[in-house]
Parts: sequence; structure tokens; C-alpha cells
Amino acid sequence: MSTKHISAFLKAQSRRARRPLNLSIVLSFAAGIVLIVQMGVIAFCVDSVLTHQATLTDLLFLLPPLLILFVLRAVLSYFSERLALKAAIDLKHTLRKDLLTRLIAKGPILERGSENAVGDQVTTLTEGIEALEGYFARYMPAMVMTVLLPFAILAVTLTRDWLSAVVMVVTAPLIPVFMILIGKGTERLNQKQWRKLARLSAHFLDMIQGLTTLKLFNASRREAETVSRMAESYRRTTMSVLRVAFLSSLVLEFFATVSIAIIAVFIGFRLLYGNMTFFDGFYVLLLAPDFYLPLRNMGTHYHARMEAVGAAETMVSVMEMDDGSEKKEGSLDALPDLKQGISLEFRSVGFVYPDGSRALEDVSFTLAAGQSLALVGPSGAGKSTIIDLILGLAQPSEGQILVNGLDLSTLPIAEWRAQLAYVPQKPTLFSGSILDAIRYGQPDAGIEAVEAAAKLAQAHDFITGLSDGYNHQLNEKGAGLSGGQIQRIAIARALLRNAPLVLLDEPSAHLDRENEARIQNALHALEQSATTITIAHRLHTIEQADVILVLEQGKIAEMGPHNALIEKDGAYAGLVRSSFESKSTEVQHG
Amino acid sequence: MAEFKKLLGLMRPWTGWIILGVFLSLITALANVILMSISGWFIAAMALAGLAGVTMNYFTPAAIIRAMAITRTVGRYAERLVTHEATLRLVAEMRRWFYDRMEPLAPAGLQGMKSGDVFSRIGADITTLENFYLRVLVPSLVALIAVPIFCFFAGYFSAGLALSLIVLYFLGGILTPWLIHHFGRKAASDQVLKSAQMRSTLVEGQQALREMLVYGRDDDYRQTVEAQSSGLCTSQLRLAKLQAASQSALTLAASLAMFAALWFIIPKVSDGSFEGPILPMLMLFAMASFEVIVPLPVAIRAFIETQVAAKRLFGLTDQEPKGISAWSEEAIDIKPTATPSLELKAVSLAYEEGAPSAFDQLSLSVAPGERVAIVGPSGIGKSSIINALVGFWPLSGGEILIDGQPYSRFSAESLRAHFAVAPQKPHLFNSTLKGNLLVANPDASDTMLNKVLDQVQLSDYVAAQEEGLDSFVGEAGGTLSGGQIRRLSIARALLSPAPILVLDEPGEGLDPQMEREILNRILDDETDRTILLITHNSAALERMDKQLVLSERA
Repeated sequence: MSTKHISAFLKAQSRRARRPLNLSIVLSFAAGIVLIVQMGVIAFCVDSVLTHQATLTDLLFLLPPLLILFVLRAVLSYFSERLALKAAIDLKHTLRKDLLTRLIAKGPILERGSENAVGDQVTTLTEGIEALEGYFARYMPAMVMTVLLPFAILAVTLTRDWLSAVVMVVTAPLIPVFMILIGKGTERLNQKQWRKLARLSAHFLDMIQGLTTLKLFNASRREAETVSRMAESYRRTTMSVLRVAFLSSLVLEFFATVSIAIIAVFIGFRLLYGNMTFFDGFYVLLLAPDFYLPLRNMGTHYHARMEAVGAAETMVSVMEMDDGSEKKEGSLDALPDLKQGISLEFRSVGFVYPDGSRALEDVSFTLAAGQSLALVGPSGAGKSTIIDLILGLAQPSEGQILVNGLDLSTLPIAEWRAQLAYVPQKPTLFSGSILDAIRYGQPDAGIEAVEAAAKLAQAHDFITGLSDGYNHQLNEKGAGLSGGQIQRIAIARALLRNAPLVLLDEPSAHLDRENEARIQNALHALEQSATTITIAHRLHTIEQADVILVLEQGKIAEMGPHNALIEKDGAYAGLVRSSFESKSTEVQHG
Repeated sequence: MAEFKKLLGLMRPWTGWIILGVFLSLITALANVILMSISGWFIAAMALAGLAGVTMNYFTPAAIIRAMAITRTVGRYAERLVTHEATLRLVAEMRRWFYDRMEPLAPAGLQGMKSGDVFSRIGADITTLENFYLRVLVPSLVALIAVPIFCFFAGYFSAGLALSLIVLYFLGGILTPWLIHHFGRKAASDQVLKSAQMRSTLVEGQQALREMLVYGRDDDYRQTVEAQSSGLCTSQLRLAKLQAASQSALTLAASLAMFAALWFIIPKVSDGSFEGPILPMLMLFAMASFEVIVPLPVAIRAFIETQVAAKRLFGLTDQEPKGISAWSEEAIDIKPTATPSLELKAVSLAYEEGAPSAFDQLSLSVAPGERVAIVGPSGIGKSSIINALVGFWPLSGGEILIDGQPYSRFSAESLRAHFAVAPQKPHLFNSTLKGNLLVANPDASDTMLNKVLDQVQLSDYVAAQEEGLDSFVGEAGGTLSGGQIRRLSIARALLSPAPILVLDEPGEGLDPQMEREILNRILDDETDRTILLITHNSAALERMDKQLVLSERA
């Protein structure tokens, strides 16, 4: 992504805090003016003592105003600094909110093979955002101050000594020119540094979550080397960025110092030869460092800008991606009453991942309210994509999904999802109590309802067997519970919703046969009134479905009820023969 | 303060770098003060010479000014290079240091800790420690050395000026930092803790977006993060105010120092004790000397932050490992024999003291090359047996013998080298298919990889991928189906050279047919290895030599 593009993004962001930032600049400029006056008073005092033999008593009248100027300058810079920092903090908070909203809207369907990992996203939302503070609080105001204050000082200098003013006018523009020449290459270096940090972070998170696996295979010592290597490589990249930054500071400071020295030499000799008053010479010399100070600081601020540009690259791509939030024409504000039942129709639905790989093509089927659909087919055939489309986690690339005759994409998505009960293949339980985990989708459900759902899902007994029962605190990802227990909690969570549309992804695969039989009954009760779509691997589930959809490479190979498909003796019959040969034992065992 | 000492201890190998950094920083600061003082004196002396119509030796002061200007500019450059190089090296080493101490804790010692929190420690907290040397140590030491020099210098000319400077240095360098410490300590440490908290929420939330969206809890999540973010902002804002105030206070103090020079030196110039140029010299000296005081308020803030970060780091690294590494001090590395025997004698395991046992009084003897099934319903503690076998958790009773030798004789690593485990909840790394397999055996050839992939019927899938073995599996295997993840994890175990193969619920997420086929293939191929099959269903049970049936606890 081009630096210009990212810069434009950052500038647009800072415009949101235009008022406080402008006010900060005004105050900072006022502090600069106070400084100019203050230096004049000081130069006058010294001049009076040195060349007019004034005593402290003669100057007493000037000392109180001088103290007032000191205090005034301190107060002005306090408020200027405070405003700028506050603006930066607010901007960071707002941007973090916006980014998170975008990331949530984008949902869990990531581009295939992309490196965009959660560790990366989290780093962008934390360290990445923090890296913008220097840009908002320093770079933006400094850009204005670099112009304002030197001009004010130049104007004063011109009234005292035109030769010094000429030196200033000639040397000042050289500084930014040199800095930009040096800074050219740093843009790419900064982006590289940031990408390395993001990769390092993502790797660390992955490593921490997989540490048990690494240890199981005695690979953790090898991983230690990787940690060293990545940390070392990040250090080198960081250092290469800093070296350039320090070098540009060196150049800036060198030029500023040389320029001041030139001014000093001109003044010194004119003083020696009596061509200039001491007041004029001393005053200009006191001002000269402050003339170059904003220019010198530009090096630091330029580095802050580069850092921000490096960090903001990911943000720009997140903010610019299509999150599908654009309302379609004819969008409904409220969901029609669906408690009577949900019928579904897929009309030539296709889905293509952003990277161009196709997951579904021309899928059409209808499912009446209360009917059950079994999705069958090999891994990667598109079964999960159909579920994702119904969940609204992805939008069809072609065709339409109709819910009771209404286009799904026009329905308010949150309300639509509230109609669904969903049991994924790998349920995620959030850290918190089991009680909260079960009522995750219905936070205000009472304990009776939770227990009833848990009983139906065959989870009640093992939960009450835990020392603290429903208040048992779950660790991240349900660590400490068995796969089957997590599954049963996920089923209870789905049951509690009492939803008219049930989406199941192999719900019985993790359970032992005794529990599985019971859960089949529980799910059967749920399916009685609800429309059900199941990604099924067990013949038992498939046989009972009203419609079976056999998918192959994203297309419908066959569709119909079990008996009809068996009679047809096509793909499904072949699948049943090859997969469920010993079906008598399998059905028995579940 | 304990953290402070520990941090210093960690920095010992960098003592040379640290001293060099402080030295350069001191030289730079002194050069700047000398430059300003001489310049003030020089200009005034030139002017007075001009007024008096006499000549003066301007070569010496001009040469000093040039030398100091160069020392200051180049010194600052060198100082920055050295201090940053030192601190970044330290930080890079610390990540490794932290990893080496965290690794033995897993999984028992990290149980109950959110991965996002551990992530914050190895990432952000260690980064915070960068500032310990850069912003805390260097400026404090420089101020400590420079301030007495400045006081003596001022005292040579005027006791009043010296005293005023001492007061102002005290106000700026001690009182201001103390006030920040007093009013900002909570905010500074909150800032570290709150961002760690937010990071944990984000890690957990971003990894569970699917269910969050489906169950309509995305707004809660957003609001939680927003609340955490604004909490962070509150702390940052408080610190920002303190920072702005302390900066202004120091600017004021520096101006007052100049004022003190006017006040005490003008009378001495008037009464002829000093020549005129001494006045501008001391004024500029007084102002410039504050350059060593200015970083101190920032130093105190950095000090608080690094203390908190260090506390978090040490809080984890100081834990005693709980697994086998904790109770096998005399353990040695014992290479696994080709076909070891395994015996469990009345083994019990409880995850926490006083908690009910995951399994109790389990006895089992496995002869070399034997195939044993451990069968029982879900939640009976079958998977916990693996935690006991590989020494992840200490046994609460009984003992395990390998080849007749007690477990405590084995080092943790040599113990694990006996088992090739396909766990029930496998973790796939956000890497390629190949990268995930090589975890089990880094030296495996592509032929070996293709063989194990064939054993678990993934060859066709891999062949269909454009990148083949080098295709990425996505975060936590996100681009694969549950069944593919399961099979890849089995393939990984098969690739491991360990002599005892442990399969925990290998059929999960697979078609029964495929489960049977894969198990049969493994039983056919792996004739040399001992196999432990942990399962709740009947696939391939008939081919096992022995079955251990676990039933519901009473």
C-alpha cells in the first residue's frame, strides 16, 4: 500500500479532532510569542547591566513582569500539551472502536491462506493504535508550528538585524530538504518493521496456544530457537529503522548548530568591531536556537509519522474492506414473525472466496417449515459454506436465499440470527461459569430453563457432579472438560434458544453411544417443531431427514429423501454403500 | 523494589553497554551546558571588547565552542545508537528468557490462565521493559552525576545561585517525579494492566467471532472492549495531564534558574566582583543545566510501568513447574528402547488438590508391541490418562514404570520421547501442512510425510491443493474441516519416531467407515509400535490385544 494513501487516511482521522488540535496549536503559538517577549526582556536586562552599568535596583521594575511571562508561558504550554494529548487519546479510542466494529462485521470467514491471524489483529488494535499517538499529538501540531513560530521569530529578527535574518532564510529550508532525502527509504523500513512485529505477535499467540502440542512432540526446544531467531530479527529491523531516524536527527542537529554558529560569528565580529549594539546581537542569539528548534524537532516528529504510517497499513485495509454492512434496497427494519415456522429456499446460490476459489455453485433447494435437511458429502464439498450463508456470516456471491419468501440479505441480521440455534463442530465456550456458557445466547434465562436445557442435552448430571456445579468456572476454550462435555454444553446452549431453525454440524460425533442415543432423542424433540439443517455423518440422522442434499465440489449431486435416493442408485446410494456398509452395527452403536 | 533488583540482575551481562551508554549521555549533556555557557560569555566579551575598542583572543573560545558543538551532536547520535542497541538486545534476549521459563510450566502451570494474558507478557510487557534502561536508568544516573558538578560550578561564583539551583533541581527532579508517582502511580500501572486485559478480551473474542455473532453477543463484546478502551483512555488521560503539568513545571523551573542568575549575579557585576560576561554565561548555564532534569518525570513514569510489567513477568516465571519436571530432580535422559513395556500401578490423578480425581486407582500393564484399547463413556477421564503418561501432571497416587524403571528416573523430555500422541483436542499451527507435520519430526523426508498422509487418507486432499504440502492450514486449522484436522493430527503422531502410539478418540468427526479404514491401516502398518487406543466406540476393538473398560464412577 502506498505511503500517500496511508497518510491520507491518518490525516482524515486527525481531522476528527480538528478543534482541540487547532486550539492546541494556537496556545502553543501563543507560548512561542511569550518566549519571544521574554527573551527580549532578558536581553534588555543583560544589556543594561553590561553596557549601561545598571544595578539590580534599576531593573527591579522589570522583574515582576518577567516572572509573569515565565508563568504565562508555562500555563500556555500546559494547556497546549494537554489538549494535544487528549485529542490523540480520543482519536485512538475512536479509531479502535471503528476498527473493532469493522472486524466484527467482517466476521470469522477469513480469506483462505491469508496470514491475517488473530494475533495480528489484536496487535493492530493495541500496539498499532498506540503507535499513532505520536502522529496525532506531535506530528500534526508540529507541522503547523514548524511554519508559524520560525516566521514570528524571523519577523522580530528582521527588525533587529537583517543579516541574521538572511542567514535564517537561507539555511532553514535546507533542513527539511535534507531530512526528506534521508527519510525517503525509511517508509518501507517502517512498514517492514511493523509487519515483522505483527508476524512476531501472531506467532507468539499461536505458540502459546499450541505449547502443549509442542511439548508433546518435544518440539518446544526447537521453538525456543525460533523465538530467539524471530526476536533477534525483529530487533535488527527495529534497529535499522532507528539508525536512519538517528542519522536524520544527527544531520538536522548538525545543520541547526552550524547555522546558529554562522549567525553567532557574524554577530560576534560586528560586536567586536562595534557595528552592532549588544542588545540586538544578544537578543537575536537568544532567539536563534528557538528559530531552529521546530525544524530540529521535525526529525523526531517525522519518525513518529513514519511509525504511524507503518502501523496504520493494516488499519487502512481493514477500514476499506467491504464489510457487507451496506443496506440492500428494500431492507426490512424489523423481522416478520417467524415463530410459526421457517421455510428456506436457495435459488441458484453460489459462493466464491475473496481469493477467487469457488465453494458453492448453482445450489437450489427448498425446505418447508418443520422439515429437516441432511447435508452429505466429502470434506470441502461446501456443506459448511451453506451453513455459513444461512448464519449470515457470508453473503452469496450469486443467487438468493429466501426465508419465508423474503430475501435473507434484506432481513435485519441480528434479529435473524436470534431465530437460529446452532451447534458447531468445534464449539467454543467462553471463560466464565457453565451457567453463563449455557445461557450465552439468552443472557436473561433463568436457572430453571438452563437446567431443563442441560437435562435435555444430558449435561445436567456431569455438571452437578462438579464441585461447584453450574458455577464451575470454565477455562479458556473449555480446557479441563472433555470433548463430549463441551459438545453437550453447546447443545444445551442451542436448546435454550427454542429456535424455529436449527443448524447442526455433526452434533453426535463426539459422544459415547449411551449419551448419543439420549441426545438423538433430545434433538429429535427439538426438530419436531423446528426446521433443521444438519451436516450429517451418521446414517441414522441422514435416514430420518426429509430431504438429503448430496454435495460434491460445491454442486448438488443429488437431492431427495433416503428411500428415493437409494432406489435411484446414484451417488447417494454409492456413498451409503461405501460409507455405511456395516450399517446394522453402526446404527446400533450410533 | 524486588522487581527492580531482579531486573538489574537480568541486565548484568550488558553492564559494559550500560556504562558506555551512561557515559556517552553524560558527555553529551555536559558538552551542551559548556557550549551554552561559553557562547553566552563569548558574545558578551566580544561586545564589551568592541565597546572598549580593544582586541581579544577569540580563537580559544571559538575553538571550544566548535568542539562542544561537535561533541554534542555526534555524542547524542552515538548515545542513542548505543542505548537503543543495548536495550533492544536485552529485550530480544528476555523473550527467550521468558519462553525458557514458561515452557516447563505448560500445561499444568498455565491452566486457568488466558492465552491472551500470557501473550501480553511475552509481547507487550517485555516491550515495556525497553524503557527501564532507556528512560529510567540512563537519565537517573546522568542526573545523579551531573547535578553535583553543576552545583559546585555555580557555587564557585555565588552561593546564592548554587542554593537556588539546588532548590530548583530538587523541585524539578525530585518533587515533580514524586508528585507524579503519588498521583499517577495507579494510572501508570492501570495502563499496563488494562491494556493486558483488553488484549485478553480481544484474543478470546476474535477467536470466537462465529459463535458470538450467531448468538448475538457481538454487541456485548464490542461494549466490553469499548469500556476497557475507555478505561485505558482514562488512565492515559490522567498521565497526559501529569505529563503536561510536569513539563510546564520544568520549563518554569529552568526559567526561574535563569532568573536566579539575574538576581544573584547582577549585584556582583555591579560591584565589580565579576566581569560583565559572567552574567550571560551563568544565565545560559543555569537554563541549559536543566536538560538533565527534564527527563526525570518521564523516568518515574517509565519506572512505574516497568515495575508493573516486571511483576507480571516474574509472577509467571517464578512459578514452580507442576508436571513431572517438578518431581524428578535426579532424572536423567534415557533414550527410549525400540519397544518399551509400560506399567501403570494403581495410578490416580487429580487436577487440583482436593478436587475429585480425573481417574482413580488405574492399573494396566502393556507388553512391548501390545495393542491396548481404553474404552469408556465421555467425561470419564480417558484423556487425563495421557496427561499422566507424558508427565504433564503429577500423579496423586500410584506409579508408572517404563521398562521396569520408575517414572521419576526419566527427565521430562526423555519421558515424552516415548509417546507419539494424537490428542483429543489437537492444535494446528498457523503454518503449512508440512510445517504442522514436521513438529513431530523435523528430519522427516517428503516421502515420510506422504506416507503418513496416505495412512490417514489425506493424500488426495493434499494433491488437490495448488501448493500441495506447502498450503497453509489457517489459524487453528481454519481452512480444514474438523475431520481433516483430526486426521492431520493422527498423521503427525504417526510421523513421530516415539515407540508408543497414543490415539485419543481418533474417530471424532470422521465417518465411521473412514475411522475404521484408518485404524485398520494403522494397525496393519505399525506392527512395531505399542498402540494405546482411547475411544468410546467399537471401531477396530476386535483387533486389539487387550481392552481396559472404564465405567462411570460411583
